[in-house]
Amino acid sequence: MYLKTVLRWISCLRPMKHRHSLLAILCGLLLLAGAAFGQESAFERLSPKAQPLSPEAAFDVRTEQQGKNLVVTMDIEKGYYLYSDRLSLTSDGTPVARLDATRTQTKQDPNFGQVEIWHDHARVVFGPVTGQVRLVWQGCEEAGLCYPPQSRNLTIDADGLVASLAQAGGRVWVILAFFGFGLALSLTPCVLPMVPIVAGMIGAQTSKTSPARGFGLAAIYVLAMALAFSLIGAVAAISGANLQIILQTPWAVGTMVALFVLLALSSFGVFELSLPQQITARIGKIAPKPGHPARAALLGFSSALIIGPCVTAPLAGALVYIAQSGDLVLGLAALFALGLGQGMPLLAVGLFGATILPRMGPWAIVVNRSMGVLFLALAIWLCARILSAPMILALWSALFVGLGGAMLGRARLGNALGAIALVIGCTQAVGAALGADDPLRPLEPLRASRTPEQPSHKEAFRPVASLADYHSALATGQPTLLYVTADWCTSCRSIDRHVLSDPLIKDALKDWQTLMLDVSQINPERQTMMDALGVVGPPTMIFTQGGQNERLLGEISLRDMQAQLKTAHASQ
Amino acid sequence: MIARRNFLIIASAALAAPSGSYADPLAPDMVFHDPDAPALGHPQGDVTLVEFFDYQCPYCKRNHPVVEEVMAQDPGLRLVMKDWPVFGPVSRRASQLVLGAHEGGGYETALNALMATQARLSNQQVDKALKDAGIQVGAAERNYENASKKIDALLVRNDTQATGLGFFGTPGFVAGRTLYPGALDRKALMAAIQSARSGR
Repeated sequence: MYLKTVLRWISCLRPMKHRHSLLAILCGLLLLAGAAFGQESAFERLSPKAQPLSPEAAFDVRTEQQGKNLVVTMDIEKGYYLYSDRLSLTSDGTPVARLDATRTQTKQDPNFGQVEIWHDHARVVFGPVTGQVRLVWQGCEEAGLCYPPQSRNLTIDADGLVASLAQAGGRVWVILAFFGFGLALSLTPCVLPMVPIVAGMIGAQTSKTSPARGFGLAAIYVLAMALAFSLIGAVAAISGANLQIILQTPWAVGTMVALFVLLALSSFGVFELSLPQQITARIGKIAPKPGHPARAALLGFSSALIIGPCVTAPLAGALVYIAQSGDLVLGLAALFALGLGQGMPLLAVGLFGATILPRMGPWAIVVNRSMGVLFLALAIWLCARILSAPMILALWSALFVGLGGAMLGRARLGNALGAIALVIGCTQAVGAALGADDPLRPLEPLRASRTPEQPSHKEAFRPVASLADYHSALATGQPTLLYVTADWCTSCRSIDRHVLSDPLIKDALKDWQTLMLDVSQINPERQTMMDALGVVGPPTMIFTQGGQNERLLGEISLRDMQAQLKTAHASQ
Repeated sequence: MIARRNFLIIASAALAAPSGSYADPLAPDMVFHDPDAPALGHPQGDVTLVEFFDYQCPYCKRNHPVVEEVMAQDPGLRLVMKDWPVFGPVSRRASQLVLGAHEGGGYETALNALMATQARLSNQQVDKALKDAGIQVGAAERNYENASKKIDALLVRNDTQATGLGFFGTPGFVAGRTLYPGALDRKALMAAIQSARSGR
């Protein structure tokens, strides 16, 4: 109003300024006085009761971004309507497709033919689109007034975490936030396997290690790990390939396994004692001596493969951001910060490990050998991504039997621990022979064959064959949960055991059709599905209900799942 | 930031506005006697009725026979139909063509032809309706092009008036010093004119 007054004052003043400056001033004063008394115009309006509503009051138009779609919700006052064909969303002047819309009513008028309109309430989904868009709508009052088009300019954020963080606080904020996410993730099963690696790296030194040196080594390790982590992610995102495909190829896993076996052998002192000098020297070059910075870097670089396949919400967010926006620098920086955050506890291990772990005398050897065992365990753990479950049980059996055998006959404690290891090893062997698939429950097949229990969650989840299959399942309108999982996905195992087998969850899922996409083996069909659904990897859960979908990613806790099902239930 | 930029654009437009009689489009004289706006009925009538309308607005068209009838029965009435195209490019072109036809003297025929059409219009339907009424569309188009500066400025002024007066949409009537939003039936229209005549 003030602006209008000023403009009118200007337009009144200007044409007269030469000839009638006194009049102009009077005119300005009058206008200002008019504004002061709230008199906008020489005309009077009818009483507000006799007036139609303002377009803002007649049509309450709200917008909400869902992924890359824009959901437009319109509440229309009684006695007013909106034209379906005059609602549009344009991006750079190009119309954006309507994915879904409330059914229109046909307004039949003998004089004016037919138009499609909405009364009362309407919801329209436009998409996919990102960036600047313009929403335009137009409607009328039944009693006899048509409004000019109303419009609103909106920005559809590039989908996801990174873009929204960047919008909230800029690039630095993105990097800080990802560092924070990394810290939060650093104690998940995805990152924990790296603790013994670092401990081994520090502890396995023969010379005295100062805390500073331990910290330095750990820092090199973490930097290399974060660097590799971000590089792998970036390559995956740019090439459009799936991170799992890169990290689960037998040769990638095989390389890692070989590296860990080499490290184990080195920890056992194999290269120093029993092998001929020439071979020792050569392998010694490949596997640098414990405590060497190069070894720390090499280990860190390859350890990225351990955390790489653990899909977490921030990782997925960063990968999707790089793929969609092409903003490699910010995506890389975010991944690097995530990796650094995940590595923070390792620095503590480096700093304090050096003081806690003994370096001299027989205990140093024990620590060294233990690290060797840990490296072998890691190698088996990695093998689980490419080998069948019974094979893994067989390998565990071999490790424990070997460990037990080595420990027997060495002092009392050694005898006791050795006996335990032997028992575990034998149980694993039996499990392998029975075809068990869970190293923590090697004798499960025995129990299962005797007492046919209620179907486990895995049977309750129907595998989906294709995208068409999934879409036809969604078309039934029943609430649908799609669980993307894989055998090699450690987080998935934890979800299976602690979340999906929970009676409360089972009960809450009763009315849901539960589908499963198993990506243990990637084939083109599954890859297409993952691409189409925007799934970065397992574990991912997509809850679809009433045309809306929500997803949970990564290490899903019992509480997450309960909350998700509760909100889904509430919206039902 | 954006608000300030808009302000600057609006402000500079205001400063660059043509001088003289078009100074304040919201002044009553410009609302009733815009020199470029064609008038119907009695040219020197004792009362002027202004209607802001669109050729695709269903209520404007449904209401138009009532307006014509009232005008026919009231020899002292002057009617100014102000084009306020709110239904997009087709409406805008329809207004331009009818105002173009006015340059050639066929204003009322062209206006009534389009007001008698049904529902939504396409450019082709506009052309056909005008042609069927005996208007030469090509000539109207040329007339518009020759006078486009004047006609487009009139359309801008109409828009400024309609929104400046506070009309939310079409149709909107002005009689005397009173604004009447929305369609008016015969009784209400005559009452509005009566009220204007009695000097209110």
